[in-house]
Amino acid sequence: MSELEVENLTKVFGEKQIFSSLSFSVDKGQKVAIKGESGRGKTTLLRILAGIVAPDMGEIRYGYTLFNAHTAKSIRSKMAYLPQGIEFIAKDGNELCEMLFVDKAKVSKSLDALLLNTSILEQPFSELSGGEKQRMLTSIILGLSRPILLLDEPTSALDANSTKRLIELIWTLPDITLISTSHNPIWEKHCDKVISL
Amino acid sequence: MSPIQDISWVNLLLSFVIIAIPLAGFWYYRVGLTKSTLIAIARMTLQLSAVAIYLEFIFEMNNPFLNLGWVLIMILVGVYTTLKRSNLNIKTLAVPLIISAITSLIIVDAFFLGAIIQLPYIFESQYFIPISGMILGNAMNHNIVGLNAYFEGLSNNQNLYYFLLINGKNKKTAINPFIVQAIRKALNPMIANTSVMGLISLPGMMTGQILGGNSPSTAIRYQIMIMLAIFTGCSINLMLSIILSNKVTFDKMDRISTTVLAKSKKGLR
Repeated sequence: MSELEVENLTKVFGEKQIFSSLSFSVDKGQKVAIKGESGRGKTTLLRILAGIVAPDMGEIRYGYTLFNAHTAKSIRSKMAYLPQGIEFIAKDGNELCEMLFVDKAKVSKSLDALLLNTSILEQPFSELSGGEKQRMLTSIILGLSRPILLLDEPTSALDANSTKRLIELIWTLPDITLISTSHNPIWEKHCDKVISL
Repeated sequence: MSPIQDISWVNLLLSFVIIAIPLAGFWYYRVGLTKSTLIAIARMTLQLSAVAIYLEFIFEMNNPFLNLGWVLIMILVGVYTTLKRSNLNIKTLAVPLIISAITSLIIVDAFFLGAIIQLPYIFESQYFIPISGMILGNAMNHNIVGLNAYFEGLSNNQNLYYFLLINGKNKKTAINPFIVQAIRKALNPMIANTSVMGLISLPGMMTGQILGGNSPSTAIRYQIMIMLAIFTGCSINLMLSIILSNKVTFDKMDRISTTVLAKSKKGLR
C-alpha cells in the first residue's frame, strides 16, 4: 500500500497553469524530492500535499484515506512540515518546543547529529544564522516523530558538511516518508524518487 | 465652585484659527495631511453639531427604543469604520463585529449602569448614551489596531500559521500567537495610559464634569468607573471580535480564507 497517492492533480493561478494531471505515488519510508526551476510549482505542490493550498482538480490519498475537510485533522497529525521563511513570534527554540509539545530529548539527539549544541534552543531566533535556524527547526520537527515529513528546500541555507549530516540523519530513519522540494543535486541523488516539474 | 463660563459662537469660530499652526507645519514638511485634517475637522464640527441637536431631542424624549436605536447606529458606524480602516472585507466580517460590540456593551452597561450606579431605569438617556458612546468610541480605536495586527499577522506570516497548524496539536495552537500579538498591540497603549492617569493626563470625562460644576470627588469616581468600563468593554469587544471573526476566517480545512482579507492582502500561493 502506498503512503501517498496523488491522482490527476491540477493547479492554476490566474491564467498560469502550474501543473496539470499530475499523478504519482510514494511508498512508506521512501524519500522523495520534487525538483524544477523556480516558479514551476514545487512549493505549491508541497503545500497542496499539506492541505494548505487547494488544488483545482485531482485527489490526494494518504493510505486509503482521501485528504479532505473531514480527514484533514487526523492526516495532518501524522505530518511534520517545515516551510521556508517563517518569522517566529516565539522568542527561542525552547519556547517553540513547548508550543509544539516536542520531546526535547529527541530534539537534542537530532541537534547533536547536525553538529549543534542543545544550548542553541535558548538563543533568540534573531541571533541565529540561516543555517543554524534551519538545522534547529529540522531537529525540532524531527522531535515530533511523525511518519510523514514535508520539507521545503531543507538544504537551502546549509553548507556541504551540514547537508551531508542532514542526509545521514534522515536516511537513518527508515520508517519516515520524506517529501521535499529541492534545488540540491546531492540531496536529489540520495532520494528514492525525484518528481520533476 | 464658580458656574461654567459659556463659549459664544463667535469665540468658538475664532478657536478654529489655531489650526493654522499645525497646518503650516504640515505644509512646510510636505506631510500631505492638510486635506484629510480639514475634512476631519469639518466632519467633526458638523457631526457634533448634528448630535447636539439630536441629543437634545433624545434626552427630552428619553424613550428606550429611541435610545437603543441611537446606540445601534453608533455600533454600525463603528463597525463600518473599523473594517474600512483595517482594510478588511466588510460583507464577511460585519456580522461578527456587530455581535461582539452588542455583547460587550450589554455586559458592561448592565454591570456599570445597573449594578454599580444602580440606575432605576437603565436606558436613562443621560447615562446610557454617553457611557455607551465612550465605550464604543474607544472600542473602535482599539479594534482597528487589534484586528489590523491580527489579520496583518495572519496574512504576512501565513507560513508560521501553517507550521504551527500542522506541527502543533490544533488550530488553537496555530492562532494563539497571532491573538496574543493583536491583544498586546491594541491594549498596551491603554494600559500605559491608565497607569499615568491623573499624573500626565487628565481624562475628558472628568474634566467635563468638573467644568460642568460637579465636585472633583464625584468627577473622579465617575472617571474611575468609566476607565474600568472602557477597559473591560474594549477588551471583551476585541477578544470577541477575533473569536467570532475566526468562524469566517478559516475554511473547513483550517486554511486562511482569502475573501476575508481585502484586496491589498494576498492569499498564499
